[in-house]
Amino acid sequence: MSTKQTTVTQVNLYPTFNLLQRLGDGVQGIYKMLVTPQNLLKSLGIGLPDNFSFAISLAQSRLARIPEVKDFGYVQDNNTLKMFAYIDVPNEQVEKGVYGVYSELLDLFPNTDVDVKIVELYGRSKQEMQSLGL
Amino acid sequence: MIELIGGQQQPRHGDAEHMSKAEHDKCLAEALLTDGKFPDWVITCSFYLALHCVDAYAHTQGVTDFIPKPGEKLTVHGKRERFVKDKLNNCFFHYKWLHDRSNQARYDPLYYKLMPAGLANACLTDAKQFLTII
Repeated sequence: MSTKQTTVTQVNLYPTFNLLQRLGDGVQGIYKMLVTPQNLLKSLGIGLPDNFSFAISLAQSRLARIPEVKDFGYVQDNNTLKMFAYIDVPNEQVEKGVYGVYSELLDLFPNTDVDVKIVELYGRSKQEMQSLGL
Repeated sequence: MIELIGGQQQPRHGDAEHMSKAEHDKCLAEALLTDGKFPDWVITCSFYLALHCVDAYAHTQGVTDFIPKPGEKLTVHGKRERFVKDKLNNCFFHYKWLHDRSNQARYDPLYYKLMPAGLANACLTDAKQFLTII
């Protein structure tokens, strides 16, 4: 009798567990989709081939989280967007962080010429470096 | 660079020629490093050593050039960087770092005086790792 009850319980709980698991996966999926803009864009199938302002805002907000990035700049024309992360001296962890942002942008803009370059200042200003046309 | 073979355009160079050029660039970078006076050109040679290794690898994957197709908005360097990210992801950070350092080494007139003593050696050490990708 007790064996039969156990079996019945297992059979009845499995679909519930499965449903909850699916629901959880769904919620997690929606969360991931909404939390990161690139996932949202991928999910919606939206490309932003000419929307450089979004790329600039995204890069700027990401790079602002890296304190060693002293300044940010960009130049753009119709087809090309070059962004610059100004750091004072070489620092591998900082460079990895900046190139992580660049990597994100490449995923987001697969057919657009976007670039994020690191420029080392050594005490100089961003304005001094801009005239070099890096 | 292109000749007609059997009515089809084929590049005269392939992975072997790019690897040979990479070795050539390595030798120059080592000589310049030993000399000690031209750390900026050690960095530049190091970047081109890495670039030719990437091009050699691309040939082995059936990619014979990074010239933008009609309608593509990417530059040659942009396409190559995307290739590195997609096909040689472990090398992406190193490749981009070498590219940016080389860029600053060529255009920033004070860079060779300001850069830390070990930077040129670090670039060459990084670039030599690319010799092992094919």
